[in-house]
Amino acid sequence: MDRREALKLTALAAATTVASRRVLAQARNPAQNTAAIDPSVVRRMGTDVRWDKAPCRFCGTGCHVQVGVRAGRVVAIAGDQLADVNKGLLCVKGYHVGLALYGSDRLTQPMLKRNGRHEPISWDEAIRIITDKIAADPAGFAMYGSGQWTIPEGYVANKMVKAGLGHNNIDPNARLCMASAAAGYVSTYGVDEPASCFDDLDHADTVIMWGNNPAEMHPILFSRIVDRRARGQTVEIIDIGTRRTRTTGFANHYLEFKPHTDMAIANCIAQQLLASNTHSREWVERFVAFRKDAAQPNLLGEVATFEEYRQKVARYTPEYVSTLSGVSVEQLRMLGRLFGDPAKRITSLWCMGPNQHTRGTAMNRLLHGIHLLSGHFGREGDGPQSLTGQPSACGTAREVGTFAHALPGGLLVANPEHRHETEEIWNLQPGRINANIGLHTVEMWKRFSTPSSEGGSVHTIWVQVTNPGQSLPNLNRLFKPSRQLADKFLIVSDVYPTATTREADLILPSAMWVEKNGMVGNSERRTQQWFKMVDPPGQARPDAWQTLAVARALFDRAIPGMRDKDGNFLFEFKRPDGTTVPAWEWAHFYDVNVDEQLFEEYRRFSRFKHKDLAPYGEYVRARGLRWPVVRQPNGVWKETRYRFIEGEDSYVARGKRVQFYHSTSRDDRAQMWLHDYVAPPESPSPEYPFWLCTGRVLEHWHTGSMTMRVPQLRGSVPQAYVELNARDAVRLGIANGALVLLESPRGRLVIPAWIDGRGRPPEGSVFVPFFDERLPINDLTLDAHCPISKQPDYKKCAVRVSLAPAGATVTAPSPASPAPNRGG
Amino acid sequence: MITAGLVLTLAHDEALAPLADFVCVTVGELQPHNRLPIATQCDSLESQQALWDELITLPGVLTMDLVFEDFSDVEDFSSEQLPSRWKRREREGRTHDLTDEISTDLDAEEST
Repeated sequence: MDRREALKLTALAAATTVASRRVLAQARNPAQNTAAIDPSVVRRMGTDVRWDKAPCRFCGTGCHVQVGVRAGRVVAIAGDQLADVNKGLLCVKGYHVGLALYGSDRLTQPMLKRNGRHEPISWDEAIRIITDKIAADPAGFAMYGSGQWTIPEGYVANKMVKAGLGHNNIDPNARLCMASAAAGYVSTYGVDEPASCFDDLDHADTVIMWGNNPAEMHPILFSRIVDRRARGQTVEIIDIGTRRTRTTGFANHYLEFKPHTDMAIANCIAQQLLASNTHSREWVERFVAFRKDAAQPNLLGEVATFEEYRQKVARYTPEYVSTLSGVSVEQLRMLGRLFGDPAKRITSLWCMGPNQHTRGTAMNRLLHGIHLLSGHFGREGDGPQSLTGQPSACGTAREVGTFAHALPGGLLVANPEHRHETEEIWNLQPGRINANIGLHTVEMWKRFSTPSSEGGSVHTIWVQVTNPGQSLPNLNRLFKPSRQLADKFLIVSDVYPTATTREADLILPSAMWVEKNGMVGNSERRTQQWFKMVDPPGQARPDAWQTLAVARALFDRAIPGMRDKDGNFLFEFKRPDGTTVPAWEWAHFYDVNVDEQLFEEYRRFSRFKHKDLAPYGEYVRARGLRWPVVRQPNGVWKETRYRFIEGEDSYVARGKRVQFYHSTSRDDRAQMWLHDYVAPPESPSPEYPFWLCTGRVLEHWHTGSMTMRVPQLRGSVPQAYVELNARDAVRLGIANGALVLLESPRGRLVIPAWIDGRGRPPEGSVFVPFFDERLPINDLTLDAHCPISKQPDYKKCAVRVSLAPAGATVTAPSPASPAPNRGG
Repeated sequence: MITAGLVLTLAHDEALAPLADFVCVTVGELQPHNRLPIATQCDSLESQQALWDELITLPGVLTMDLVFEDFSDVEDFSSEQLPSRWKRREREGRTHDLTDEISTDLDAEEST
């Protein structure tokens, strides 16, 4: 048998093994003794291929892959059959995660911009430059991180800033994608992150997509639903959206609403439940309390009553909301009947739609509220659940607390007790943690792009694992002006050139995925771990090392904040014999498992908010564990599928049935919020008559810095486009593929049209994906944000659409666009 | 050569027949619930993607999940060398006539 034939049989065997499993989506049966990868695959690939587990690098689903390495290079990928999340399957992005390591334009050495050009420098010089900047102006330094930081990477950065520099000017790009979800959970349950988990998809009678397109954005989760249908089960899908997507094609009901009116739809469901007396009296009487916004909106609000709630939602009749939203009365009544049926199991899923919303926190609260009011909560398949788009938006941004307002483990900088607990664990002088909340993302970048003389107090930003030069909203206001200001210094750690590295003053090459150890946390509270499998290219190094090296250089310069109260460096790593390892020196970084030691320190925080994490070794053995992970009397570490539910959650007292033990009303009740529909800050007008919505596509992950380098993915969707309704196209004289000029009050873009393409917006609405740095749609978007979560709204602003003038080419410069480069 | 193993979920077993037309596809034994294991072998990444694009749009193919891929023959690739023509195929019964002119302009933009 030749190699070609052997590989074909290997592939077929792997596919047959997965296809023949009785149930793809349900939890695996340990008795089946399934291997992580088909033994015949391992045998046929040869003994020179070493296989190991890792979570996928891309989205927040947390699929596990088996990575095949031969001679120091990743050569094959297989689905991990032991993984509860994906059962051996992966989406097209997952299976190209191995190739994403090998683009020939990987960044391989530090580079400093001199005279408008990036020139190679040594790591020693790079670390010295950063240290100079911080030492000279610690208050003017900020860190901008990511939901793609591993847990240890985020922890190091968080501690360096909040303990070492004594301020809280660190924020992750997760501010842009799920801050509203976090605020919604905290203000409803008193603690962040979903109560339920992906198991819901295996049990729900109805799955409602709220402004969400999982067929493209979370395809493995969507496959779990489609697979149930293939097995003859009835699973109803309701797609509530502002444009038809691939998900719509699978939906039983499509409810198309006018942008922003989802708040009214949620209130309409509540109105019907109360009017028809089909709400759950037990839940109202036993498990919920009511809240309304204070004069200055915040997480706690003010006490309200059930009667106030009833009065608030009374006007949201199907007839009124139909007028407001464009959804038919009958479709709205269908939703009301659905939630009024206690026998149905209803899963609500959402992602960027309700989150990237100037009333994002309110919208999240309303979604929780309709589930609580109807009692659709806490059973398998019956509950609300937000999804995340990054592999560790939950694990790092939310749990490690890299937000400007947060501390590890769900603690808050504004809470004196939380600061005290943090100072205890970090062994700091009392009062070291600054009580002032730091700058959130929009404010941080606004101050970076504002001249110092005009209040632009941020002078240096260190960006890690994200691409704000493409992903920030309103780039002409938040990003580009800084590049014209001589005293603003931008440091970027990344793996490939991006829109941000091109504008950076200092570029640091980073190791990626299995080129380093790592841990992440997915959307269902699942913490995952992997080991380094291959070396990074050139001088690329892990972000955790980069931060450690800078912190140590600051320590060596006697910057006081880098010492604990005993005078020791903030980050100490020990060998088993107790001797110190200088892990900040690259030669010694892998002398010990830095990830393990950082994680073991970090997990001391997890007990405060009942987000208990198991010891590192438990994650080495598992394909992730969902917190709280609680040690049982028999010594077993038990994960939790459903929080706050007796029998599932170890922290629920016996006899309580449901106990929201972090209740902000301190009575074990969740909070149901009263919110009116309010109009968006910008709507179509005679001058700008179209809605613009932005988002992602299946083939590309976020700004495309990795997926645009994978030939299959780039070949499939090589450039961005504007989706246009066919009637609008006819009216405007725009043919498929013609160049279109999009203009908003903030910027303009020339981009090809795709009429009736994969996504189909209604008349008066267009959609543009943001993956293509050559076609930066965020020149046009709005930086208005939710008053509580501070998350901007990328889903709706007003634009003008016209056929581009003859001779126009794509990527016309925006009015506020600066010259490409500036002097060193 | 790039080899992949995939699982197709079919709406009905009539969807099997068209697969015989693809020389790069080896069809396995149909499994319960209309799950079909297949292997694909292509000479280039581009041809593999083109094949997958066609498979997912075949009538009766509900989903296509990938299970295994060997890309040990793929060398480092340069994003600058990749084709940037708009290559999207007909999907879901809709056509696209986006022109080469658009991507040519993008290439020019990249090279400056």
